[in-house]
Amino acid sequence: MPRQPLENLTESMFYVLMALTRGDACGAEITAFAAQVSGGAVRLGPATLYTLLARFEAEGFLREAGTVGCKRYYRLTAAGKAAYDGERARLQRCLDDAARAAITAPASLTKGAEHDENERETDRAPSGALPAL
Amino acid sequence: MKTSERPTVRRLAPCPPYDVEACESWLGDMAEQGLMLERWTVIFEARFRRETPRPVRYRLTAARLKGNVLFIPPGRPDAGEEALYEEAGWHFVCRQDEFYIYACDDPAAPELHTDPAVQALSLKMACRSAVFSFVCWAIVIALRSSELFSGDGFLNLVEHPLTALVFAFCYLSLMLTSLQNLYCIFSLRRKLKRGLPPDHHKNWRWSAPLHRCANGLWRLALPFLIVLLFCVIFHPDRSAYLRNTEAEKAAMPFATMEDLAEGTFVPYDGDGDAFYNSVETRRTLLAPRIIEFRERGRIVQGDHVLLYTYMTVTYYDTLLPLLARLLAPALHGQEELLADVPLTAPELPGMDAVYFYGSESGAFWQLILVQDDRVMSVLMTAMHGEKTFSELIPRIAAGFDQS
Repeated sequence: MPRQPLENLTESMFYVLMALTRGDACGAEITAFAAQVSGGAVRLGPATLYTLLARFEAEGFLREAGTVGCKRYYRLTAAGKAAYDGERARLQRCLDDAARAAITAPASLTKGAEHDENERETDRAPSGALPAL
Repeated sequence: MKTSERPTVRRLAPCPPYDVEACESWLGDMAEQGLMLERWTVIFEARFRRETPRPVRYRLTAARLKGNVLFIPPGRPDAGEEALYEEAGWHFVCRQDEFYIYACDDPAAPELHTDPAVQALSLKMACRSAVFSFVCWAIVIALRSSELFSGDGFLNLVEHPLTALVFAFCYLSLMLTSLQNLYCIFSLRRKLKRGLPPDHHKNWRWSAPLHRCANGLWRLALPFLIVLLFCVIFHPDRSAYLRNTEAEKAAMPFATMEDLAEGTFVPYDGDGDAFYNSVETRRTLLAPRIIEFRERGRIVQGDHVLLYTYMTVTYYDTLLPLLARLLAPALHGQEELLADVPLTAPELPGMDAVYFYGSESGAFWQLILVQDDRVMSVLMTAMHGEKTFSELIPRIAAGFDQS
């Protein structure tokens, strides 16, 4: 089954939803938040932001909450909150797995390295043979 | 005013409009020469105004993220989008097909797109538009090609080869451009989906001469086509026919009524007699000699009317035998309503092809003969008299035979 476009959120998508979990915000506020909370690591270009806001609106993750002058304010919907929470949980799971792997690293890594080396010796193809596709 | 002093300058774009990277690179290079983009027209021409040379970044962003490919995008972005971009230091310049072009003087301003995956998402409508355009042109070319090998289509090609050639060039050129656009936009989208950022300094120079040449030819072809169409539509009044004289009839490369039966030819002298006994000759690039010969009257022998008919001969002397072969069904197509019943063609030595048609009423008969690069259609309307059409066929063939 092909991957749906917004199943796994990219960094930009995640930070946009993150900004809106704090309340209604306009484009400039979302951009400023993302830069501030990431310490400058995540910079949302205006075209990236505009595309994401339009896409999230089409997906039902957010809706327009009103306008002040030319600025449009957006509000996160339940679906958007669920998408954010799902991605946050996924990232947390990844971090937990990484932390667990680091705690048990020394013994299991050595054993794992020996096991892998033994497997490589057994599976090494005769010279001249093509690798299996 | 010298060319170099004009405040605005026009340039043919050196790259397809959907080659986002090449367009951005080219516009940036133009800015460094002191030419700032003002407008990008539909016919691949960009208008610049002269200013102080300085580095300016130009970016093409998708003009719409949703909608219908049947409608063109709005000429300007909505106020919210424009305001958002202005805050970041980018100002809107113009629309170019499915893209809005923004410019920024400030090297410290953030890029418009900072996430390649999101930029790939934004190109959905542009991709759809490119596919739609390509499919439309493919259908048009397929229809025009099939029309070419139908009756009137091929006849039009022989009668107006230059117009057909210019049309064909325009269609192919637009089709190739749409194919280029399709390739460029899908290549970019694929690259962005892999997480790679676009190359804003892509080398546009290597393909520029070819692209500009193709664009230039297309721009020349368009006014030429308009002039040609004008000439075809408003050609000289064909009602000024030449009444066929005995000398002209004798010079015809086919049999006239007098040659079809032994007797005296009495021409029709009623209403419209100038038309009914007339000849038109013309030439085209594919047919150096075309004759439309009309003769109406009767052949009498004493008190006997051997033949009374209105005979129309359409004769083509083409450049190639293949053209003559392909014209034969086209000539029948013109008279299909009259002589619509195909009949068994008689054996006529010396002829490369023979087509024979009649009508159920027996009032209309058509014989089409092909020999080498010549083809002729003889249509007899409201024929009566002692002679039958089948009896006239050998004489018609003999008159046409040049072997």
